[in-house]
Amino acid sequence: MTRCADIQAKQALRALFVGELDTEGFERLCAHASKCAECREAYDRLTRVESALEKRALPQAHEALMEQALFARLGLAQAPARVSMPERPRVLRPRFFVPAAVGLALAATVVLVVVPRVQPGVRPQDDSGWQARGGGAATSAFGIRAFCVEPGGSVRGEARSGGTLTCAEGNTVQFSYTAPQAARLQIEATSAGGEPLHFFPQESAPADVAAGVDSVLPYSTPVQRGWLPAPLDVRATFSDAKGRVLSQTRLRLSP
Amino acid sequence: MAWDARTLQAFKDGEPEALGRVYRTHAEPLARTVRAMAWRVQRGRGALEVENTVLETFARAFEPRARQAYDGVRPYGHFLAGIARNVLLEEQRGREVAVGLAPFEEIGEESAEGEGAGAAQALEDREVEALLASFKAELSEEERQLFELRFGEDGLAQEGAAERMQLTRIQVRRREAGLKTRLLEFLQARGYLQGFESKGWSLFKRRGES
Repeated sequence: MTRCADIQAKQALRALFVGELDTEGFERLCAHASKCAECREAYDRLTRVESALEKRALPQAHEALMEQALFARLGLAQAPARVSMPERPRVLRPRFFVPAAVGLALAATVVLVVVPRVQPGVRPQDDSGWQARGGGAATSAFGIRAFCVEPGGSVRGEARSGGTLTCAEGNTVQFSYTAPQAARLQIEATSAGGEPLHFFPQESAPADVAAGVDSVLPYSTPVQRGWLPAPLDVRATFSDAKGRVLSQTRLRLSP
Repeated sequence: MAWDARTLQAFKDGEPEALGRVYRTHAEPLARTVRAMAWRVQRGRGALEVENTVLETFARAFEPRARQAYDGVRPYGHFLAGIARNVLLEEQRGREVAVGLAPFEEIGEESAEGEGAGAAQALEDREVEALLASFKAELSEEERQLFELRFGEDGLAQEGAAERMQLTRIQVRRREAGLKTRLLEFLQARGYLQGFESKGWSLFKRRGES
């Protein structure tokens, strides 16, 4: 048997087994393994182990990834990513929500914002994989966190669900979310003037998000032109594909 | 799943929600069917090939014309099995043409090769079961509890296991990922995954390795 040198394929095999492979990686792996005897045998053996564990012919992770692949092949847009776990981007190109009162020129501006790095001391207490569920704010599986990021990229502050983030003019608000399963997410607020403010997504309808822990959203919002003159309650709603609410949480932004 | 008039119409209309439900209901039974069919006509089939066949079967079954052809009365599993059979026959024909063999056997007829392949599969299944039992024996009490909740007789979903262990689902997912990583190392150490090492780079990195 020849020795395959495709390290990415081997990493994908491992990620598939552990349950961390996304749809794109799965399709690449399958395409590679179809032509590579060594990786195909590894795929077969690992799947056999998964099947033995789950007592299924088709391990659940495979079933979910195949569903995504099937829908992609059919050209359908459903694809509720059940096990997708995309790599967290290090630098994002932010897009801005545009309240009606703010000039449209904002939307054309592009600024690179360094994704805030979470300090070890401020991680939620349940972050340890072996810590039992207890009291405190981190008992809900779904949640959001907001970061105030300075123009230079350093984090001035952060708040989790139920908390308050102070973020002065000139800085940027960046949200991350935690979801134990794929869901639809909408983060919004209502301005003092009654205008809807869409932090995520830009449209009024919720957007699909994959399961993830502290996944940084691809939108950030510069605090400028006076849209945050006073404390503002931000609502985050996680819902399923049918629109049923899975979780609702709030945090407050303050200038 | 029940094929009421509304579900059938949604399916025929190609609504993603309905297609998703049909897929999730029938994917596992179809995979079992395909695996059984393949044992009869070929020298066993690997998981990747079975999955490819399942995917191809659903892709054909979900084409507009095939959706319209389903009446909602016949068991949909039978409908899928018929398509899967054709997919397998086409694949088998393709292989025989490629290697210049005699015409394919009809699916459904038992063959000595098929029985041999089935026996080989059963042997490997037993090997895997024994390895898993050894791995489980090395786990701590807490780890074994999670292992049994998730992969034991109950086979609970992560939510259920989290409830039993007073953990969040995320915690369960992380612990499970840790267990599976160790299982990979265990399988490699026991030789089940050996033969995949290449040029000093092991298929699965051990903890602590860069």
